Amino acid sequence: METIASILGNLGIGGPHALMFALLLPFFPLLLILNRMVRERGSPPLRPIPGYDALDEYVGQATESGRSLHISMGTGGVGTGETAESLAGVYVLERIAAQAAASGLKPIVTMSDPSLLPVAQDVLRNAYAVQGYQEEYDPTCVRFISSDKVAYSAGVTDILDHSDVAANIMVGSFGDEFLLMSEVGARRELGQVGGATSPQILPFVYASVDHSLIGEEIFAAGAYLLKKTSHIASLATQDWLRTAIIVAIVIGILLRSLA
Amino acid sequence: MRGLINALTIGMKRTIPMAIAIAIGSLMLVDFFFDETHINALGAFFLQSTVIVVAFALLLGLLNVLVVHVRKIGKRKEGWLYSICLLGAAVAVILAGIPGPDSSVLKWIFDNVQYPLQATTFSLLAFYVATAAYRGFRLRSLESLAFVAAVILVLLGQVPIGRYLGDLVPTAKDWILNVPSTAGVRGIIIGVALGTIATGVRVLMGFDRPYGGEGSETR
Amino acid sequence: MIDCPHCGAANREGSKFCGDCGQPLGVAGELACPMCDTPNRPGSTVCTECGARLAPVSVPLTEESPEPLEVGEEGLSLESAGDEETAAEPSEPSEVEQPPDIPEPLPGEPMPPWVKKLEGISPEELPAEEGEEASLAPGELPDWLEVPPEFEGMFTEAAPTAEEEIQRGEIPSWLEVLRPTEEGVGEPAEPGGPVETTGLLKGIKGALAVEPILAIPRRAGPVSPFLPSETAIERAGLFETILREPVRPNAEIARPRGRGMLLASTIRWIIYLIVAMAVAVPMLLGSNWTAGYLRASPPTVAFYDTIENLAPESVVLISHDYNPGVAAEMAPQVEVVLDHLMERQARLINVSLTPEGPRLSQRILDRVAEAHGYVLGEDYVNLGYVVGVEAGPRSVVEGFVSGGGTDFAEGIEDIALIVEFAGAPTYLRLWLEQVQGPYQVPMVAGVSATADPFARPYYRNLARSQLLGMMTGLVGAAEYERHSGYPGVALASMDSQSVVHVSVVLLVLIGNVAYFSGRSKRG
Repeated sequence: METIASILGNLGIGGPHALMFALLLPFFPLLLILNRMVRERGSPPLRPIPGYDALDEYVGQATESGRSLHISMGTGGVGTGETAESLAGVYVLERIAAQAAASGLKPIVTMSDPSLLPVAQDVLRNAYAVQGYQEEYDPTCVRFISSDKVAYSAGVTDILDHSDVAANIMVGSFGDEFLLMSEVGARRELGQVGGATSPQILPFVYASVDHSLIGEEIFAAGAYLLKKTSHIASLATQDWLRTAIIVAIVIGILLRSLA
Repeated sequence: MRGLINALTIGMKRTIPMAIAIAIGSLMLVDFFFDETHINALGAFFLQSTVIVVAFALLLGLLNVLVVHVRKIGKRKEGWLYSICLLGAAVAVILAGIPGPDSSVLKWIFDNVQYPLQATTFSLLAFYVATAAYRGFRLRSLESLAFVAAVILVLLGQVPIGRYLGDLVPTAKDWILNVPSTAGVRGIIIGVALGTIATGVRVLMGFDRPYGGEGSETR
Repeated sequence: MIDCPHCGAANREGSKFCGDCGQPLGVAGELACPMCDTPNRPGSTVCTECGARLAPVSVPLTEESPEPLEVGEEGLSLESAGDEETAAEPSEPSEVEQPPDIPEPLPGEPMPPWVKKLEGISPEELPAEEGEEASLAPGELPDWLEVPPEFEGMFTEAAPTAEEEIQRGEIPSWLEVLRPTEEGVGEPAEPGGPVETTGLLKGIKGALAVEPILAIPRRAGPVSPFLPSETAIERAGLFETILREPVRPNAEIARPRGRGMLLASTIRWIIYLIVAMAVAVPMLLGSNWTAGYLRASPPTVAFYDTIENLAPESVVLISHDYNPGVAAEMAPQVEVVLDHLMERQARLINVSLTPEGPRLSQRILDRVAEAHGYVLGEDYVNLGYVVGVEAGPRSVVEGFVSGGGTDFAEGIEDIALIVEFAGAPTYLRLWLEQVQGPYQVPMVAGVSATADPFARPYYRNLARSQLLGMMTGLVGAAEYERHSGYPGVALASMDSQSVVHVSVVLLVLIGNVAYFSGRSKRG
């Protein structure tokens, strides 16, 4: 460890940064190799995540009953510390948008950070364009409610109460306001799928939502829903590195206890 | 000629955004790790530009709110009166803010409208937690048994009444919070960190478009 | 570049699975048809077997006409290309006609004579048909729909009844168009075969000869009278009632109406009432019973000790990172800590990463400062909101040389302690990552109750000191108040909090009891 640190120090990278660099570096070659492997051998078996299965089912039910669907992409935005979670919400939206464009379902997409607004509109528009229904795309399906999280949850509550929605999908970065929205959904007996990474609200997600996506399960959206090779490969990469970290932790514990 | 235009369109929609994302992303990464003045200056510049871009996105957001609610009023959809209230309030606050963010009207609005509204809406959480607890903490399996036991111990242990019930309660609560809970949170944080890095690395290596965007099309 | 047959994305040569949708690309570039599973040539856009599209809208349809009729010993196999149903979009017009499917005769059967006749037709004749199809003017009928000469008279007789002005015997203009053209363009060659002598097809060559078996209908044999059974009559009656019922909307997704909804509603309101009473009653009674049992927990004590050990006149950086939502539990924390800090005669620099932070903190600052005789600008400053949440702490540190803190601190090394009040874990993390880590400044934090699980790992970090002390929620503030001897709002709220917690525990237990008793009743 010290040698790596000194090498990096010579390159001009400071102490704690060296450790970060050492953690970051394996990602690139691993992703490259695993991407090629997935391309050639197909996807490795993925354990079933009930949240994603439920998602498809709710979309189907909503379509059949002629009602709409509410999707919240979280209260984070892109370009912030919550970019990855917000992007997870975008991938979920991409999947639902594809089904919506094909079946005439009109989703209501809400977000609290304005930087997600053009992203969501773009995703929806492209979904309609792929199917050839450009003229059916309605930009007011995507609604920016408010930057303030509490106001956002109030707006979502209104949508859940008064627009005829059949299901409520909330995947992304959330704060305490998650419970405000999910409880209203539960009260209206909507089908709900909720996913968040913040430990602060995971208990809320678990308790108030029928199908929850805990922590990094939301990052698997691209792999499970869209089946993109690059996402499956990155899931595999994360698994490898996680195993490496676990091994390192165990070794560290042993060394500490024995010393 | 057609092929050239086709290539240009594809380029504009797919390759150029990806190239920009990769270039700037790599720059920021280098800026974070290395201490080179020029790169640091560029990095700081891009960080500041983000703020400006987000500000413009906010303008877009406001426009979106306007369009949605004007349409609601126009079509007399359910709750269109509330839309009128919303637009009226928005105009009022914008006008009030013209003198500057420190104007007394704005301060009054914050003290007497925004603060009470936010505080009250958040206090609804208390009620919602109760209903969620009543409905959601069902003993479905062995792990939910541990869950409910932890809920009860921590709830009682956090408040002074726990100590009244016995010294065991606060001790148990401390143990639960310090050992299993912290361990679980640490695990989740590590996992989320890996996921976040993976998301970024995917874009940096060009495997993924910067965001959802263009579908899986060859056009 | 291989096009994925399922989603149309371009893939590198040699890939076996599509990069965008994960579906297999087929063996050696072969495309499997999604409808009938036959392998097709790579790059084809239409299945040669069933005519289904093999690529989505964007990929242009290659102009492939269906392969001509192949006649073999087993019979005909006919491809119908451009099947409308399998295409996903109706906007694309069907470019190829749809000849009807001709069923294959069972192997072993002798070929029916009409098939034998078709053997004679060579493939070259078909394109000519197509050509004729394409060149038909609107209103013009194709060959086989033409009115034979002997029926022309019928049409002309009918015309005058509709339009009086046309002279009898004169063929109206619209009918004139229907006259078979003698000098037609692309007239097909005279088909071989005998001339029909009977029926509608009289005078036409090349028509299918009438098979006696098909032409002369079998006389129906005697049929037993149909007597419906009992069940059949019953079902017919049921069917009739169903038909008579008024139309009802689709079944909704799990919306219990009536009793179920009312019950759930009532339970909900009872729970709300319980919580409201649990909070209000102790507060109104002003009881202070539980305070005696309150013991300060180690993190809070550590927090207290850190501040207690500050040298007088130390510069302390306080960050107020909460919004009105959690202000209720953060404000008592802020107040008691400020009390303590001012008692220790620390000099305070206040910043905030949230827009509401300065406003919320100013009230508390004013109140406590007055009590301790602190003067704004001399003993404490409020630098206000720091824009750009992500880079906020860093800019605070870097901005010390400029900005209002110059009297107090020249740089980060002058800061003796950072006190962070975090309403959400993000802010805590930012301060830890950007300031505490790089500069190793001592730091303590007061967090909201929901942020506690996130903050604890930093307090419990035994290897490297990140947080020297931690205070959680309203209870933490009460503990601090008790420990430091400054009783305040938090301590007074402990009774309410206790009763609410107990109520929620009871609700969880009751909920489980209700659930299981309901299940045993049903099950």
